[in-house]
Amino acid sequence: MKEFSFALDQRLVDIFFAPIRRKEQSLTLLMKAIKLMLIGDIIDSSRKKGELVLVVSKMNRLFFFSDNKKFTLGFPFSVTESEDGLQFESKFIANVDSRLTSEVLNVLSQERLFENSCSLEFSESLVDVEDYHDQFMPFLLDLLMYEDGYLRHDKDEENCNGDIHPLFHFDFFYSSISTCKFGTDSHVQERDMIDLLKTETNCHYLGKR
Amino acid sequence: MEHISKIATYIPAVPAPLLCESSFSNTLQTVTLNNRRNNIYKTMSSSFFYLQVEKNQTNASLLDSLEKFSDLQTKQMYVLDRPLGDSKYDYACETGLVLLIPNHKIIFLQLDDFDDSFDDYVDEFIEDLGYISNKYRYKEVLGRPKAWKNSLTTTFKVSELEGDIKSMLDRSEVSSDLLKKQCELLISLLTGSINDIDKVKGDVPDNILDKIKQKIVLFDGDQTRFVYQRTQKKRITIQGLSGTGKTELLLHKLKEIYLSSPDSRIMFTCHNKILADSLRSRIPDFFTFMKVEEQIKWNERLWCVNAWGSRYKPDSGAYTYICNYYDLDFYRYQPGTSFETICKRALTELKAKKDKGFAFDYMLIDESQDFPDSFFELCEEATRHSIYIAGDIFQSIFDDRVIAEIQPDYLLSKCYRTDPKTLMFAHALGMGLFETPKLRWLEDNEWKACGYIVDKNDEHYNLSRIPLRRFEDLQEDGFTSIELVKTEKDLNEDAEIKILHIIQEIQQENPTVGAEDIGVIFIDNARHTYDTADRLEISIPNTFGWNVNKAYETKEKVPDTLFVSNKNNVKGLEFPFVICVTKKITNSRSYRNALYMMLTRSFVRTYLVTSQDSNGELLKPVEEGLSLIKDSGLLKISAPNENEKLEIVTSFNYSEEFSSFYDLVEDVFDELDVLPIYRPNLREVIQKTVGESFDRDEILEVADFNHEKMNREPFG
Repeated sequence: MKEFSFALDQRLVDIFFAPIRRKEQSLTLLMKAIKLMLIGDIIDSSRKKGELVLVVSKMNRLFFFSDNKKFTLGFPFSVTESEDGLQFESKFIANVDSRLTSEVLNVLSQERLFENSCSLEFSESLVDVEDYHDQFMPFLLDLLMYEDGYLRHDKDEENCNGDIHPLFHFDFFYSSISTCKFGTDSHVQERDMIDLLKTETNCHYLGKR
Repeated sequence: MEHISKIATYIPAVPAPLLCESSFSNTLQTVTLNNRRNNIYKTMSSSFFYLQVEKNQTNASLLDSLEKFSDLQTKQMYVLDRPLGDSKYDYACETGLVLLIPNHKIIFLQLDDFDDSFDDYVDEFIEDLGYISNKYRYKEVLGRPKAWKNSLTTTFKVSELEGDIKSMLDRSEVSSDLLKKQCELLISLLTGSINDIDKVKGDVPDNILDKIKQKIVLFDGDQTRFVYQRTQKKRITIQGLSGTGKTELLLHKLKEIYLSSPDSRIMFTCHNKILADSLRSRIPDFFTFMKVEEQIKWNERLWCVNAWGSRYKPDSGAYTYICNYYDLDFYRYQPGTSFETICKRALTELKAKKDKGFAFDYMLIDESQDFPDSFFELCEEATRHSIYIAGDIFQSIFDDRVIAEIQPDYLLSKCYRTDPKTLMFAHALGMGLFETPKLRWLEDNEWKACGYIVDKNDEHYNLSRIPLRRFEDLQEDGFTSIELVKTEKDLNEDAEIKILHIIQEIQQENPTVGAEDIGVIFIDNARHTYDTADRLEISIPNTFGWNVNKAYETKEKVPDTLFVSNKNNVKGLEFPFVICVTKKITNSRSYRNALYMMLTRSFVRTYLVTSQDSNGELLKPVEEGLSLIKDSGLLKISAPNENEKLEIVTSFNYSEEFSSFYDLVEDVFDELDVLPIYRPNLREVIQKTVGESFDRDEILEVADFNHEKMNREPFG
């Protein structure tokens, strides 16, 4: 198992910790995280307000840590490391790089794409990208279909309400259809959150109060 | 006919040649137009003089002298007898004229000493000008007419002038910068070239950036003629370099038509959907800004959509609408079907129909260079009155037809987007004029069509451009509008460091500069471009506190952010400062054209960031040429000899500049700095992947990707 850690300054914390409600938001986050990881850990420690951790093991996961919020997403690419830094590989495209991530961000930013009733307009915007990489469509579909395994731990002083909305809690899933809370007694530390999701270590148990 | 008579009462009196265009026979019309075109090519100065007043025996000699003076002195001049842009102004006096010249008071000219109505004419005109000033909120900075009447208007009797126009101008010149600005504001109101008063403000700023941002935009003669002239021609074409203001003029024309023909149905279209969407959102803003009170009746009186459209939405495209209106066979967009073919089919079908009526009264078409001629023919068939077609003079500087075979009715030769010196450098670098052999050469009339003054001695050419009012402040302060910045091998050819350094320099020189005043444009499509942009997204906020908008991700311009893009998302955009980044200046035509386009996106200064080492010997003549342009405003070049010319023409016909696949791949390897040891293997991979294709971009992609792979060691 390997871990790669990247400091986040306040601006990046604001970007990465914006609420997620829909899949395209989680994908946007994923692409931005890849861009940051490709550049490297360059934020000066004096300005550090949060952290991004990529855990590479049997299952790869991204963790985002700030003072009051911690969340994680499944990471759907395999990871290699060289002198130049990290490299990410998908089933369809060997190098998920600065350009490919930008192409995905472009597709995701076009809200009309998801709201448009015309399939041709959707495909038109992809044709140019396919000229650049002919496996872009399966790559994009794979991303849209992948289960992002979102899990968040909050310390929510603003909205806490007894056992209905505990001060410390896990939020499973992000859409209003599926989301639910599991209370915890205290803050969950970064290491505990990583351990909780590791498949190689012992399982954690939920107990009744 | 009723429609025409309405127009006739609306239009201000028009100059004699125009009346010929609209009233006389076709033969005479052609002769008149040709004469006008010849004038453009001969003197290129018709853009300085605008005449609204009808010429007659009383005023002809004066008007001729004024035009001559304006041409010789390259002085912008407008001669009117009433304000342009609104039909309601009418005066009893028939012997009064108004002469508008930037930096001069508004001059009322009395043609007949014994006409008692002249004093009333002056008073009424000033009263109306006060009203217009109030309408566009200029009154907030200019005050009421009594505040400016004495300092900004004057009267002359023509009989007392004795033909001495210079002395009249000397006596009416205003001295202070503030009065000059106020005078320009009044001229802009009278010529309908309305500026946003919140943007240009009333005061005179003390720094270059704000001076240029707050410069008042005035239509030149050609532009004013396009907006206000009426003709019965079916097809009116307007062409110019990009940055000559074509889209803006179409919007003004749209407003004129929309207001003057109340029941007309108007289609405004262009090829690209994103552009059409952005135009559609611009129209309501423009109408509000121009104080148009009529409501916009979308899909009833006005359509603004791209050309093709979808089958089940008749209002989604010009072609779709026409097909639906006339019940023609519709062909949907699919690979392999060209727009030309479907327009030809529709045209044939439409021509065969009887009593078909008209889908539209007017059409306005932007970016005409994107369309086949069959589309214009289809539009002509479906439109009752006129179609106005605006487009670039050439799609690429390598187009073999610089001027369309059928000459345009309006040829805009002045590019107002960028300082003439920047434009000259961009043309020169784009066409390889500093290099041997050159990549492109224009004939004398083509240079002139592109706005150059050609001064030649045998094969030695001195090309120059007329300075523009918008950039006069740049000249006065000895400011340079174009800079070459070289990246170094020692610093790993790192463009990021240079870009940050340039932004810092801009900030120091211009204390009021904001994030959205700067655009960083990458010309290369290689991976290092995207890597650098991603790093800038982190380092620019960290260094300057500005957020970055990567337009190739967002596809839009975001307020208060620094714009970063590749060459594909900058259409129609301009910035005070542009930083163009390219590692190696290659010979590919599409590359050189993109380079030229990107360099001309600034209206204060362009920085070209490129590598000293990757470009080898190329930069030396480029730097020499640039320094001559900066010092003297001249592009000094020798015309290619016959052999060279032949080479240029031949390379056109082959459309690729590399005689062998090997050379092309080597050139790509040079750009990517591929070590010799990797080259044989990499060449093999490329050959296997793309075949012996001459598509440089494709080769670059494959080479870049595999080269990266070769440089990496896998991690377990």
